Amino acid sequence: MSDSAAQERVRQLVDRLLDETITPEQHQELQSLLKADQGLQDFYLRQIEIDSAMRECLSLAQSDPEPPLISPRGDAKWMQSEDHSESDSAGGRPTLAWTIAAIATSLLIGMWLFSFDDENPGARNPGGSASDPLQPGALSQRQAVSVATLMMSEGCRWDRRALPGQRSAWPTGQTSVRNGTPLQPGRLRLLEGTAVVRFQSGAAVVLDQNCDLELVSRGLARVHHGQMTVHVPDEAIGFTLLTPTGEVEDRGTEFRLDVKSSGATEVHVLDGEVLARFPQASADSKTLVKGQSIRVDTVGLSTVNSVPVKGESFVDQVHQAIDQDPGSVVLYESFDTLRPPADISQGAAPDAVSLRSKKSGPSSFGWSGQWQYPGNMHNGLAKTSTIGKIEVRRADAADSNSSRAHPFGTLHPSDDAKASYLRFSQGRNLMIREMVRPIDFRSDQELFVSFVIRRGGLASAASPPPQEDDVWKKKIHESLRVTFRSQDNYWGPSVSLNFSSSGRPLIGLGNNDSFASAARFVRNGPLLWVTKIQTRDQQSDKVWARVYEADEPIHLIEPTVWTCMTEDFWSDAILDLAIITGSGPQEQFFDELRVGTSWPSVLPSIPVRQ
Amino acid sequence: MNEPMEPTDCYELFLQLFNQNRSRLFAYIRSLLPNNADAEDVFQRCSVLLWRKIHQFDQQRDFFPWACGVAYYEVQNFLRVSGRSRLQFDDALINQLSERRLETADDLGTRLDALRLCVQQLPGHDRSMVEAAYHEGETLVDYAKRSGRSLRTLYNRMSLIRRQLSSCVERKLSVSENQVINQGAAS
Repeated sequence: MSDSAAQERVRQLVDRLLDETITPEQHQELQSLLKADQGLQDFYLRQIEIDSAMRECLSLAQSDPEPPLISPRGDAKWMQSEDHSESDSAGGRPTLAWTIAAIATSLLIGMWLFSFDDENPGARNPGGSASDPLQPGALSQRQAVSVATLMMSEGCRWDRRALPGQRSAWPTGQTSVRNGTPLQPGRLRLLEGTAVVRFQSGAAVVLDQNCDLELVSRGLARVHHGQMTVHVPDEAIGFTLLTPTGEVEDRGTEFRLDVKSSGATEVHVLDGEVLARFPQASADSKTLVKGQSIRVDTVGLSTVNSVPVKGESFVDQVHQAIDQDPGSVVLYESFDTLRPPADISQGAAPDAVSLRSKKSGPSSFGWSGQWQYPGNMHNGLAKTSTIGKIEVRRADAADSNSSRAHPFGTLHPSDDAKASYLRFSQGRNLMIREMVRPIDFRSDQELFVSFVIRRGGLASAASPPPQEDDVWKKKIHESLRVTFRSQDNYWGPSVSLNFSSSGRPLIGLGNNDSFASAARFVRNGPLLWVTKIQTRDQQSDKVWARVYEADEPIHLIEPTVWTCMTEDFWSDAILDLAIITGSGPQEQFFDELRVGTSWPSVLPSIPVRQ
Repeated sequence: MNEPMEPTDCYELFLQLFNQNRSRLFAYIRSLLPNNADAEDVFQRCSVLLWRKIHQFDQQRDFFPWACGVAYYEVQNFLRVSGRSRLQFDDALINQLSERRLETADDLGTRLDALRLCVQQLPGHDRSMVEAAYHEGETLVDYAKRSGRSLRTLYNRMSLIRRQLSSCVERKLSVSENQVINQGAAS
């Protein structure tokens, strides 16, 4: 082969290599050609240089730029709106209310559906009989699958003893009670505390103390006695609770149910519509709407009476449960007291709005040693490009002078708010720190990770928008990610939560395993990541992530729909490093990293508790 | 032997040296790891290691070869631990490429500068092509579907763009050399 022919062949093979279409045979051929000729090696190196240069110039700004969130007058535009219809669905700047209280619209049926058929409604017999498949204790083996999940149970005391002829809802062999426990058909008896159970259909129930519930299927349960508040999103309409005197079928609503040990039952509709059937009191079904209630007396002497509506809403109930014990935060970084070295600057930023509120309590804990800043790595296109820079910016009170100024609707900064956040200037930025408590995949636990990110959009009037040429110069690959790695095995398994230029959140596990979201987030607004990492000693592990935009309600309890999630995987990694990486052609922002033991513990609106 | 440095001095020294050499260092790693994502990961890891080892660096010597030494070890480490799922060159070729890269390191910075200028001068439709090809999360296959163009056509176009850039770089370097020669003659 002549020199020029060999060079052309190397060019073809390198093209395939870079396009990732090269076959093993072609790869071997390329290797052989390169080994034999130093000139071809130089040629190969130049081809790779070209590819690197093109990647540096990666453009991502396909979406329309978002208007600045701060007006020239400095008015914060983070307006909280109770009315989501005011949000700009046409693609402009939305209202920026992260309304936790709107959970009622967001408990969606999702990906945890189990392949279990609901019972045939026609087979229901509230009174029960010997042949009734729903007769207490008559559950078949076929039903021994998870039908619900224990979402919150802090401070609860349970009676887990098996009743004669009855099955327990608790998984066989599991001795401890923890959130996230899958529950199977069977009895669930709560003695003390307030617990939240979510059925796989999406219906969620807040159980008060002294409650005896029998889980039947993912859309059906029998109440033996106790008080509970039920929330049923549209997806779970038809969720039914059987009582000793009848049944209550939900039509997409919230209602409160109180069943006495005697069998007397009260139903209070807090919102929406309920279909109540009490055959011994009335032959007809009765539809109850918001504000209506009904009481049915003891079996055999049933009368339907209207009683005043009482009961707190589902959201209030969940809030109370969270207030009692939101779980603990094991790792926290607010960046409020960060002492950056050298070029990591710190100072007032009158053009900026904090990404969260300043809260009382510790600003950082759970770390071993200090943040390390291995460098601000910039691969700018021109020598005159600025070097990437991590700044700790402080938002003055003037920047967030009312709760309405805050991006997360329910956060209420104090008057003297002095919350800081990280600001990554264009380029490559990297911070790394060792954690006291590693994420240990050899243990049985669930950990939750949250943080807030934002790309662009905080430019002030004092910083004129770059010219088109400048934008092009500064385009480099964009990525903002948090990675958990192991010091002892840095290139081994890891968990990487990555927001890249594609706008698709992505969970990486190292070793080229990654799971991208189907959804894209192309607006430049803030995003809240909440990630669940489930580690199991003798079982498979899994990671889920939910990403919220600024105008999206945040779930108070773990959602049923996730933005992205991994497949089941097996790992015994011990991840003890947290790495924050920001690179890209525009400013990026990062704030409030939390690792906690429960979903609510890592929500921005929940005070940090160690 | 070096005097022990204060942490602040250490950090400033590192930043200065690292920023001076970062592009060349990334190019070095990339030449051993053709997959860009792999190279980015190793580059990140190297930056951490270099920062941790900066106190070991002899300031009387050149930073780039020292950094490449660290990077070479890390590339090997990466290949051993996590590179099994991708086609990779064998150790002998990686060693050859590493040596060749270091031998030609002096003009690497100039070449990269010329390349950046050439990329900036790409026509708009070719820029779009590059963006689509390297947009993370979206492959050229996705772009082909979206644009209705055949994948083969897109691959060919990418190849042509690389050729154009290659020619552009050689042209710019040639002009640059002539300018130097002319300036030398004039003086």
